[in-house]
Amino acid sequence: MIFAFAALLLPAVAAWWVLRALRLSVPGGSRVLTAAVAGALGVGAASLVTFAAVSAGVFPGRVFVGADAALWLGLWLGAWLSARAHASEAAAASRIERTRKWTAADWLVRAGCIAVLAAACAVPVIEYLRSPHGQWDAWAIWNQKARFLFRAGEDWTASMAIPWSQPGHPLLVPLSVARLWAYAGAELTAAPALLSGVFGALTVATVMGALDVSRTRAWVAGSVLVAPLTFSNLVAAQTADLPMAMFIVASLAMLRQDDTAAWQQAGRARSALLLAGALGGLSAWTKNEGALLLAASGCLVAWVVVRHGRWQDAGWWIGGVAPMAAFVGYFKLVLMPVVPEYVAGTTGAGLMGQMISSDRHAAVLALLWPMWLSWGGPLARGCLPVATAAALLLSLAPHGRSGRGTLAVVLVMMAGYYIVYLLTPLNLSWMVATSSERLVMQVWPALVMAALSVGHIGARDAAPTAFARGDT
Amino acid sequence: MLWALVAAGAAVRAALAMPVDPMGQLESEFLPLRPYLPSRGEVGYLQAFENAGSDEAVRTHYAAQYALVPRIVAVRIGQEYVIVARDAASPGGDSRLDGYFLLRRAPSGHSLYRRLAP
Repeated sequence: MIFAFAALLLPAVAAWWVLRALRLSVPGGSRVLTAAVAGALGVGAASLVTFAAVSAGVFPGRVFVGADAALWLGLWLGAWLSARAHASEAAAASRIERTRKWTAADWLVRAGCIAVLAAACAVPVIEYLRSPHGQWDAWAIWNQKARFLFRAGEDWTASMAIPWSQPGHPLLVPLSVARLWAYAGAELTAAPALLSGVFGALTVATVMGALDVSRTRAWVAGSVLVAPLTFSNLVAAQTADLPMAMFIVASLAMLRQDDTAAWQQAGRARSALLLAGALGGLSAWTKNEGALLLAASGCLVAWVVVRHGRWQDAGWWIGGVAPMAAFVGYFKLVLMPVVPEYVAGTTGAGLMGQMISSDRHAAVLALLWPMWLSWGGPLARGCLPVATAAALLLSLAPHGRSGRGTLAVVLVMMAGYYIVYLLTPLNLSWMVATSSERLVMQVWPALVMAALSVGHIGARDAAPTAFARGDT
Repeated sequence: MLWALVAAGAAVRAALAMPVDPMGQLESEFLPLRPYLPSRGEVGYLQAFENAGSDEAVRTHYAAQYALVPRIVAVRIGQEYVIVARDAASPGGDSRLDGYFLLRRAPSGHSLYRRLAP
């Protein structure tokens, strides 16, 4: 198991140093957020390398593990040596100290958050002891695909013949699980559970880091994020929805409009857009819903660059998306050219008919409305409408500017899911019952981030400095 | 914060009340058949003679597939090897298995049939 843990750590640390070497920093310069982004990019990049190894017929085996470890160690070393050149400058800047003292309320919120996080961590552990293979979709789809990759190598495409395994979904999660097994040398059930737990931790770190962990609101956000059973239950699920949630919120965290002046800086725009594109691209490499995120966040990027008069910066976002889009395109067009069953067989006339059918809208709303109200699990019912209302109200206030873009993308994604429900040829009740809770979970972290995205007082002056110095 | 604490506590309580997932057990029941199957390719799976669409029947089929990856366990007859889950064949002899002979029976009751040579 220690080798599986090393398999996760190596690319994450390499990604951390590559970010430093390339002087790519996250908005606000938060180390917590940087670590989360590095972890996500590391897992994502490692899955792409694994995909190349599978396609080349050298997966799994000691050759792959040795070459993979050497690659990440080499990248780590190279990036570390490169980053050392400007380390002294960053170290001098990071010595800036904060003067604000915490009040009793601040301490209380932090202590409460730690208690909530501890309880939320207990849920996946308890569930793992009861369901080591994960929930239904884990063994029917994601871990099963990982087994094909681990056991059959380049012949994994045989899994396409299994209709319930959703062959059209991309491979980030199965590849990551199979890679951990390759390092461990065995199909440990703890490996996908570890991966899921890491994505849970990265999601929490992203939301809290984006909202600045030195501020109490970040700790409130962390508590609100993990308190519903739906969240911790999904950490235990070992499915791809939690990684999706992570990539969505991380990509949107890069695009937050917390300080318009900072966006005028070429370095800030380059970093934020490149990282947002890469993280958004990884979401498309995780599940089909990632394409919806790219479409919605692409509109947000267009608005951001036009607003700041730096339309040429959109190229950085496209540059971030492009590598993952190439992999997804190869996967979708060459390896698995299948139409997802939830939209298969619908024609133009049929689509229009369902889109304008009041009966269809009524049927979808009748199923979604109770879910909307009850989402969250025991004693968390109502948290979804409350969080949505909070985000909407905050976005209307002048100091709620930073969450507007995030909220807009979340709403567009929810509208996209709603349209799929309108158009699906599958049994609507079954479709809503088996997917709606997970789909909401994908945008829940971003919604919490938007609901607590209160602008910094005086951010216009302070943020560029914070961004440049690279600390929290 | 108080709400978050209470909700997180309720989540732990709900997790403790969750039943044990049978997948580990179901998967292990098919493993004794694995050495008698080809390493790749498609294997037949006999659909239960009654309640074929029940959650239990579907879960058992999915468990067979999960256990026997990278083989494809397809619900049809005609392949050289056919897996017959416990209680899937109709009692007293199932005509769908005409032309097959019993190759192996696992302790769980699941069986592997092989087509008689033509």
